[in-house]
Amino acid sequence: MTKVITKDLIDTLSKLAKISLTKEQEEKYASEFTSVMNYMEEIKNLDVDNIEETARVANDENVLREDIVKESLLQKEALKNSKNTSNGYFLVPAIFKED
Amino acid sequence: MLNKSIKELSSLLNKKQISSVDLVNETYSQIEKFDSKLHSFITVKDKSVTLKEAEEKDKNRKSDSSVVFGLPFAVKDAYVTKDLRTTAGSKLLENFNSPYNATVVEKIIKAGGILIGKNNMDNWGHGASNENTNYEIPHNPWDMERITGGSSGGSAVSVSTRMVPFAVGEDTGGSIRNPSSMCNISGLKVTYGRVSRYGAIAYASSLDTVGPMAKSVEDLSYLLEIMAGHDDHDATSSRLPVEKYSQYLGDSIKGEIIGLPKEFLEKGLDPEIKKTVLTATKVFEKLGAKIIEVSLPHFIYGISIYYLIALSETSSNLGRYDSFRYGDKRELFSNETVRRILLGTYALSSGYADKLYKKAQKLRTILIQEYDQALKKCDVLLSPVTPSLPSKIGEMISDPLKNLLEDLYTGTVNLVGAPALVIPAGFSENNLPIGLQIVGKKFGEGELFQLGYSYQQETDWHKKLPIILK
Repeated sequence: MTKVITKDLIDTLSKLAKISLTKEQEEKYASEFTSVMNYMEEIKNLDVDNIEETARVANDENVLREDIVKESLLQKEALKNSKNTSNGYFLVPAIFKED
Repeated sequence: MLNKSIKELSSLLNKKQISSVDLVNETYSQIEKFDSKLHSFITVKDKSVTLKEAEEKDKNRKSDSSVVFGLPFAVKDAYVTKDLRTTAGSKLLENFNSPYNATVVEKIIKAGGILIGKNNMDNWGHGASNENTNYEIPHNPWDMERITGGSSGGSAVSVSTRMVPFAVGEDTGGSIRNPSSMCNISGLKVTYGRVSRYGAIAYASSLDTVGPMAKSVEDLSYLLEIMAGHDDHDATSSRLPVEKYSQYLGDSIKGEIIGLPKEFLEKGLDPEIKKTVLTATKVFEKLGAKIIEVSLPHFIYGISIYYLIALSETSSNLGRYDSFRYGDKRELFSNETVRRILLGTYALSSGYADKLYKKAQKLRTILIQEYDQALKKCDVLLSPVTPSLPSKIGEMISDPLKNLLEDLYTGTVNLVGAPALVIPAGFSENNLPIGLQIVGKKFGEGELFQLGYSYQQETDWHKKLPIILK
């Protein structure tokens, strides 16, 4: 069954991903998405009952370390790639509106 | 000189028959000669700086110095380097200068390696052709009109044209193996956790691996001895002791059982690549190995499983690029990257996460079980690297699904976490390189070196050079 991905869905996803798209981009991605998602539909009918999920393939369990203060980046180094800083902080747009 | 093995170079340096200054000079002369056309580097360090480093190395050389002491090397631009910009192949990080070195870079520098520059790549690792770079598209030295493979395409070109004796690549779903195969060099995707990922710009954290790319299996074995090991900065890096991998070289492979999964030779595989794999089985048989048929029934779903997981993880990992702490705005992500972020966001979104992401994670478990079963019947698996020969530049970028299908034989290995070695195994009728993949058991890199080295003693495909070098 062919599933068609709509521009509306692309619009929602781009908002979730915080990437603004032009109308043309939305159309282009919608059609490309349709071909890729239809390919991936192949897994839909596979039986996975009673199968555990795998999220990681590293062998070690519970990797812990002593809670000791170590030398880390200097504030100046940590901020050096930011375009907007103030008094040793990153400046970001306000999240709450002032009344 | 840069056509010699790492061991030979180290021995000539010890005998003072050559100097690190000579090697660094040769590196820059190769780069000047070829890289304006091939574009294997995004950033090259200032020659005066690296020459000074080479002079230091020549002065401080000791008889027990590491084999890479005084050797130039390059790293994929996915590894952060202190005071040398790191772009991940993206415009978004065009002016990013990391305050620290990735662990793998630090380890090689500590062993005496001289970092020359940062190799071109598909941005964020997103691609199998290296056409998805925001810098110049690299060209395959075997045919300038064709792709290098990706995403570690620049590193493969730098090694195949002898600009550097070795490079460090990164492999999430085939990114070391695919360009190694397409550019006729040897490359290793390590067991997940064998080499620290600290300072490797993340694509998909449960799949990303750090590995060497070089001219021969022998060179790879020496490099892994230096690169591998536990790192406090990466909790997934294994505490298993690092083996003396070079000691596996020269061991007989008599009695080794090599499994050939029947699904690997079915539809979608280029006939010339299929022929090359079958010819290689004859070489291994001649060396005393036994070839048996095995089966991985869920392999055919590998691409879907791999991409649902990789893209979910990348949509999350790339969420950190907020343009406030470092980097530029998110609209600078390339088309391929936006597509991958949106697909991953979709697979993780409410209503679809169970049907797509979680289902893929369960299928990942089934794939792991099938690989385990197959590797009970044999020691290693033999496989093609890519389903097709290097395509013409421009062909793949216009077909997103074809780009994904290039990872058919490599992506499932990352899902399993197993190691895989790629070695040159022949050429197509139009003289394009064809590689061979040997997949091992987890932490079985030594056995892969043993097999690959035997193969390279018996064949000379890995010694063939692109015509432009002659």
